[in-house]
Amino acid sequence: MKKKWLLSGSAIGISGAIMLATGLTAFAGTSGYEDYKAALKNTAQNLESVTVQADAVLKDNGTLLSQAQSNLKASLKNEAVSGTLKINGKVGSQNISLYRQPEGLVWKSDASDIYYVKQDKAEKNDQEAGKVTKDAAWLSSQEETVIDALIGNLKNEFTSTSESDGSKKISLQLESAQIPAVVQALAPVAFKHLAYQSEWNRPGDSGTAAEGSDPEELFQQGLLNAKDIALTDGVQIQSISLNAVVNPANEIQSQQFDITFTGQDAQGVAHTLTASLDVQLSAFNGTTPDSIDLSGKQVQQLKDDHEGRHHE
Amino acid sequence: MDGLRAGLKNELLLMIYRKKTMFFFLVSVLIPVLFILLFHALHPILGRIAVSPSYPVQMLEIYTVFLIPLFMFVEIADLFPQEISSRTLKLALLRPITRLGAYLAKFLALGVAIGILLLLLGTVSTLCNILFGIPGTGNLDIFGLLKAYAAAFLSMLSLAALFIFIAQFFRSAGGFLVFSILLYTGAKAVPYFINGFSFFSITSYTDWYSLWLSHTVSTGRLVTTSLFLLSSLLMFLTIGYILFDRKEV
Repeated sequence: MKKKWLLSGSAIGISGAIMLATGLTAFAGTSGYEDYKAALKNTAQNLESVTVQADAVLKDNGTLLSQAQSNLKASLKNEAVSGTLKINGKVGSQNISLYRQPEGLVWKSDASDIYYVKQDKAEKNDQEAGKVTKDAAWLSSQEETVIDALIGNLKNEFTSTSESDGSKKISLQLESAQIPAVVQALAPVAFKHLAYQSEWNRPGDSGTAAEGSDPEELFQQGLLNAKDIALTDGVQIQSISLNAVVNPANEIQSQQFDITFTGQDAQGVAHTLTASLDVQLSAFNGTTPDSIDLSGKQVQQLKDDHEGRHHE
Repeated sequence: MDGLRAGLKNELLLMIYRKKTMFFFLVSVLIPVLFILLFHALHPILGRIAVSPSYPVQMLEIYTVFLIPLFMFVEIADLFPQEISSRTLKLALLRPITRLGAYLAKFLALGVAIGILLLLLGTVSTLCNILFGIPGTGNLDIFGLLKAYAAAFLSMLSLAALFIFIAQFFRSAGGFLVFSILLYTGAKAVPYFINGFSFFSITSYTDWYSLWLSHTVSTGRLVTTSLFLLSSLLMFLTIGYILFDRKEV
């Protein structure tokens, strides 16, 4: 009888101790995920102005579909942004200069001399301004707990390596089987939505302002000609990869994101679509956006009516 | 040892005679097929949804979160509280078998049933992929698949040990069933409110198998999480046995 108690007692003791120890190891262990989160927070919290170089590329079976390069200077304090945007697509290339200043968002294409001005509404308009504010918004600790829980065991997939100069490289590589089924199921929905969007856009587009020299429109056509990427069958995410470099001051210096879709178009041809985004951040809190004086220039006011569409 | 083998055979036969066991087996065979049918029905709306070599793993997610825990609760309710309330437990104990033997036989029978469930799922979803899959999509070798299923099996066994331990406090099957479903959903929800809880909770290891598919997860992490599951399996099994041993029948 005594032996039995000893046996079960020690079994409970040992296994309980191991359970606690391994749980604590996992709890206390710094993972790449924690490093990444800390860097994101730190970058967003201390950010006042920054220079962003972003490069987005969309490839289909290895051939370039469209490419957008931008060089933006942004200041959060007075909400000013200036920069250039270069788009290479199947329809040709476009250079657009843009400024965001008190009178609104100003766009100008290199092909014409007209400046398009769009009055600012209270809401944030575009990627370049939206990105920074979004990061600042997800900092409440309750939201953080929810995000942690949603990410769940994927947390362990983040790896972090420290370099000799104090910077860190953080990467995440996921293949199709590791991507949660819910996310995977959204892929065909997203493509369906894109195809629908393009059908809906076409007829309206030709009628609007100034025969396609409206830079906003060119921007849309050049970057997202949804007909090129109309995958209909067997759409799924093949891989997701994320690479970030965090500098010694714990600010995100560069951020790469790649996503690969596989699927077939309506003719049954197999496609591999690769979208990649490469963002370089520099001159933290040492950037002053340029501004432009619109007096004496050809200016056209744009109405906000297709705001919603643009946001998609 | 003979006693344990006979006990296991006895429990397995009992399990097969229960209609709900067969019902669960049938459902677990049908679900992957039903999903294929659903994909076909959705074809005009969403296009053809990919059925790729990772289909068996995607199905596994649904099973380890919903179906297998539910199966587990129903079976544990029959194995322990039901036998006490209907006073049939003494029939098993009257045989030449120790209490430990009877207890282990019940646990092993449950383990075998969960194993069969996973095996059925793996076979059917792999067949679905071969028959309806789009060739040339995804890349998941059969070895990775086996690893994921083995890992899922281990996490399910740990979960089973936890709920067998909980079942010792109940004298009615219905009460246990309701309580365990509530407890499970509760434990699944807690990580959304309390940071760090998930590291100590077996219920958050249901999608643990995905770590074994990764190339980047460090071996240390795999070892610690495996140890966590194994030790919790042993601990709850032992505490459950102590409670079972002291039970009046």
